[in-house]
Amino acid sequence: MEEIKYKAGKINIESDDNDIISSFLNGNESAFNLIVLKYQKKIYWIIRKMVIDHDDADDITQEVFIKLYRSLGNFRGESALYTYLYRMAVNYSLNHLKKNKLINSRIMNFDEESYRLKSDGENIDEKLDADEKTRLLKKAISGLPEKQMAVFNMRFYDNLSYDEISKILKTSAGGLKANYFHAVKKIGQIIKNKKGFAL
Amino acid sequence: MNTSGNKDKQRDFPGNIPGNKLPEEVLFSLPDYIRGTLDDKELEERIKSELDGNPDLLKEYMKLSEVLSFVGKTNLEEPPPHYFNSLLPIINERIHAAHSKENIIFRRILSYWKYAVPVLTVFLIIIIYNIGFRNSGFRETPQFIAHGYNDSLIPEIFNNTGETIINSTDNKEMTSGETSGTEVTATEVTAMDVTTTDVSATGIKYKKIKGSKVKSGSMFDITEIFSAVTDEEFNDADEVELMSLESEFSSLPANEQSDILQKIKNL
Repeated sequence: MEEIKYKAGKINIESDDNDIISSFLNGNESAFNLIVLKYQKKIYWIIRKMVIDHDDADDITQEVFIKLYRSLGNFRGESALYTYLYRMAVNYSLNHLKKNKLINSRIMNFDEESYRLKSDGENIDEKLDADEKTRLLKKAISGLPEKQMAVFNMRFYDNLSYDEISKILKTSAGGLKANYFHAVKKIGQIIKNKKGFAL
Repeated sequence: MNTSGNKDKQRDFPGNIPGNKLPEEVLFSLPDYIRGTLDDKELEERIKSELDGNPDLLKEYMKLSEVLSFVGKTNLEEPPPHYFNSLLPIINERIHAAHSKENIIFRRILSYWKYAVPVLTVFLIIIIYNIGFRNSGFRETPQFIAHGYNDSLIPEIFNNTGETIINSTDNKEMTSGETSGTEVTATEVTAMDVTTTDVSATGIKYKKIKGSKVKSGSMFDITEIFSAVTDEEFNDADEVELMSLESEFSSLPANEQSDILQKIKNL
């Protein structure tokens, strides 16, 4: 069953991306399924780490692959398929966060109050449960400027080199290290403001 | 890896101690140093020695370490079980739903198209005809009306307001309703057409000149209007204009006449 699922004609999930794309462009619709199966986890987690919420990440992941399906015909192979997907995932996540920034800030203001009530004067790591930590992290990450957020996620979670990040963001590598540093500092400040976290 | 671009650039130390400066390269590399992801060994050694001798940098190091540790320890919940098994079918479903939606829209456009094509064709013919009509220069011949017809009628006809119009021959005031459904004289038709259908004013002019009769209510009898103006009439008009030019020329002094002739020759 597993074997059938992961094959599409002569190609399979381990085939080279260019072969899979060529197969798709030659009319093998199943080749697209291979791309989804190959990259769905990676793309989901890239998005999830940016938007934190699973439902949002799910929506964006679907959007990314639907967009890929429509744009594969125009894919010129200038960058690797994964880089192309990664870039789309980052851009979609940033757009999503931008759209929801106002809504999120309202929700977070409410959350902030509840944090204050619960944890005045106590150590964050001891007191916060996993959900609260997640919410706090979401607040901290979504409070970052777009570029810093993207750089932080790529560097911290995905361990991408600054050169790779610069290719994805289509910017020069210079300054990315500063973006990363400032992102970490800012996350610290946001957490500190929320919790009296000793930073 | 040097990505900050300027190793020698000094920056106020985040500890806000006046005068305490630190190279940006060292400062910005701290998060990577903390996580062990710094691939520049030389820089790593430099940071290590700076940390030994600089308590402020050490303080910054501690702060960043705490943040990175907090973020690192905050694990996101795993997605629901079988999430990744169900993702592909959902994506395929959405793609096909979007496809069928596009098809429905396309089919709708096609169904409208079979009505739109004839209508657009008619409009296109009318537009082309009108453009051709204008470009033919007929509009640029007001002398047809000027010679022997009441000039004051022209602005009235072109007005196209739908209000009453003065008949050119007897100055009788009339409305469109008066002539509806009957055979009328050319002047009446002119007035009626203008007030009721906004048909090209150019056509109206020729009706007047010819003085022929047309059925009222016939909207697009442009060919009839054209045929109503014969070549003979055009030639007559040219002749009148030529005669006036000739008389104007002959009234000029001899030297001016010869100048003009010379200029014509040069052309």
